[in-house]
Amino acid sequence: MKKIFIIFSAFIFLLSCSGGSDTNKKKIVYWSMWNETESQGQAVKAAIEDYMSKHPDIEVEINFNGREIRKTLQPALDNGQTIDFWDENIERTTKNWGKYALKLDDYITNVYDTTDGKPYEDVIIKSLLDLGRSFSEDGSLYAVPYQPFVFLFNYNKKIFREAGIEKVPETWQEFKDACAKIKALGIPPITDDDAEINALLGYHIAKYKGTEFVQQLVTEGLWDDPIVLKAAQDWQEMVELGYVSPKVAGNKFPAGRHELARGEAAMFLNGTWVPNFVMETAGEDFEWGQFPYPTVEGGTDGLYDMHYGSQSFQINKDTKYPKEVFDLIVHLTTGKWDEEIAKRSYALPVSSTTTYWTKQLEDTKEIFPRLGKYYPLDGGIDVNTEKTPIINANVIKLMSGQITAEEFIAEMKK
Amino acid sequence: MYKKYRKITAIIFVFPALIVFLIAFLYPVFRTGIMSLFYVETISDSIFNWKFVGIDNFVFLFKSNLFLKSLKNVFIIWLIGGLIVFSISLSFASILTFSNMKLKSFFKTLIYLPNIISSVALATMWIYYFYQPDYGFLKSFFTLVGLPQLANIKWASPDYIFMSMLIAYSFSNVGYFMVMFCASMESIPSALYDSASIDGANSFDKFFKITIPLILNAIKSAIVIWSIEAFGMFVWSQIFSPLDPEPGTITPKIYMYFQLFGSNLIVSERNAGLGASICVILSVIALFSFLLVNLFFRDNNK
Repeated sequence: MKKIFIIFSAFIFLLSCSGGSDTNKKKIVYWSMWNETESQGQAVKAAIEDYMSKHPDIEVEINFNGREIRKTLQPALDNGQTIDFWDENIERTTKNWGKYALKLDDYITNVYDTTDGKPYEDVIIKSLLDLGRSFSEDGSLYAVPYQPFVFLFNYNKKIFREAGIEKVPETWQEFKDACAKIKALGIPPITDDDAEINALLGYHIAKYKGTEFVQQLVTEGLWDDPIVLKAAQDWQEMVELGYVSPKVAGNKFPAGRHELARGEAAMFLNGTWVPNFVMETAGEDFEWGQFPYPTVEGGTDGLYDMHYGSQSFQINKDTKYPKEVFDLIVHLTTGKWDEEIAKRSYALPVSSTTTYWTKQLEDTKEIFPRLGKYYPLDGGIDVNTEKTPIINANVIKLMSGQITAEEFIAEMKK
Repeated sequence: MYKKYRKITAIIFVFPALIVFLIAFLYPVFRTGIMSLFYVETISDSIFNWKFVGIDNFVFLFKSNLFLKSLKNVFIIWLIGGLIVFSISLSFASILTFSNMKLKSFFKTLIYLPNIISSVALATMWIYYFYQPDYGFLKSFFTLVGLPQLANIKWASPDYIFMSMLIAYSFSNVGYFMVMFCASMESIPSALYDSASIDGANSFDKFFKITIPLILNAIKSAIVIWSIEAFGMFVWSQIFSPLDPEPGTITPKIYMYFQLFGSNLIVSERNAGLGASICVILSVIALFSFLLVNLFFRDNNK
């Protein structure tokens, strides 16, 4: 019996010795919005491994959730699970999970190793910090932006060149002229799929009368407003002129972006995440370009009024290691790793500590400093989720010529 | 004394199962019922954060065009899909049971095959290899036989997507019910058919006057299973509209999911209480359809 006791004690002792080094480490748990196989997930993982190699006292456990994090994170937090930080779109982190988050206003005023001697807030794109604050109830910052994006026309520069378009369109008339030249090549100028086709109409109405009106339109049902009919008629004309790919009628997500990537259409209104999304189809040589949705005659809104945003890191207010977690986030969003994450996932850097700008998104470099009014996704036409599916079905019909503008309005009034 | 011990032993043995039943079944049912009367922001919200709204959730649902559309969709799936599935599976079962054809087992396995494939894989296959507007099977087939109008139909467009999903869903269910009917038909004594033949009955007479009445219990079970499946349809709708629901594919469960977790595209309001109300409505429908089936099909064994 004594022997057994000694062997058992020795075993327990050895076991405790083997785990001894880990228990001295500060363990940080990160729930990621990426899948491990995605380029963004791979890049963030590499950045975290680099951080751990430089900080041997810190161990970061990564839990790859993918976009399922939208469903899994909050129940886990409500049940007291230890999660030190996580990421998602800055609107979602701030609005949905802000109550679990650490206020970061003080942290961003500090200088860090990779911020070139400046406070952190001075090296991050200012409009994104302002956007993050605008989503919170008290005007504080509850998430740190990374991977910025804007929502605009992604286009095929090669087709534009072959069509003889020397300058990207800025007004509706210039846009129509460009479409005519592309159509003459035998290529449909514009494509889309069911996921965000509402943006074509939502942006158009917003350019006429502002995004507040678009949101009012879908929540209060102001379908009789003449501007809505005018916007729908503008797009009906585009369809009749053959400027919209006939495939939009049956394009299921992500068919539209692949149509663009295969060179079967010239433009696609969507986020700057599109090149990364279709890189395997498009290939490295695809000549990507971007330009904002054009202005319309008599419209209230400018060229640079658009939807923009970013992914963001958010820290649990109950974390044991707030300083260390923020330090890790600074490591991920500045200097070498800001550049690497952008490079590996064909995305954009968020800090001025890197001069790198992704080749595929070169055109957006001039857009960020000029950003105007913020539009919700699709210009605000999706804010009434009860109506969105019905709007979507009818926008698809309008954009594929199955119904006229008048019939569209009649359908929406039902 | 012995009886007393027997009672205690019985209680001891039943107790674990009872506890599991209460925790895993009754508690969620009870909680969902209560939750349906509250506004609950997220499913994991503390009960102290719930806001009592009475029957407002139900009133909202019956005013929601989207929810009513989802009910209409599953009703059509249940009725039209049911007619398609049952008529095809009954025909196949009858042919494979009573005919003298060769390779019966092979065909039975072949027809049943879709049931061993995950619904996610099956629905994806239909979308990308059957209905795809550029290279899908329907496009290629109708082009080959010289029917360009049919070849140009966009099967995933708002006007056709419901029909496309209904066909695909029905196809995936035929095998399951066919096997069920085959098992029931095989138990019918062959002497009944022999004597019917002597009396001059043809194949149709035998099918409608012998086969159908004698497999009525199986048909009744099949209708109950089909009702539960059709009204609880989720995966197929989710694959046919992967991001956010659309009128052509929305089902009550998809709508419930939408209310529980919000939109995939935008940050929208969530209400788990509304989700719970949908569960209550679906339960009532399931109960009602069960009672209806029992009313129409009197027990054969009596």
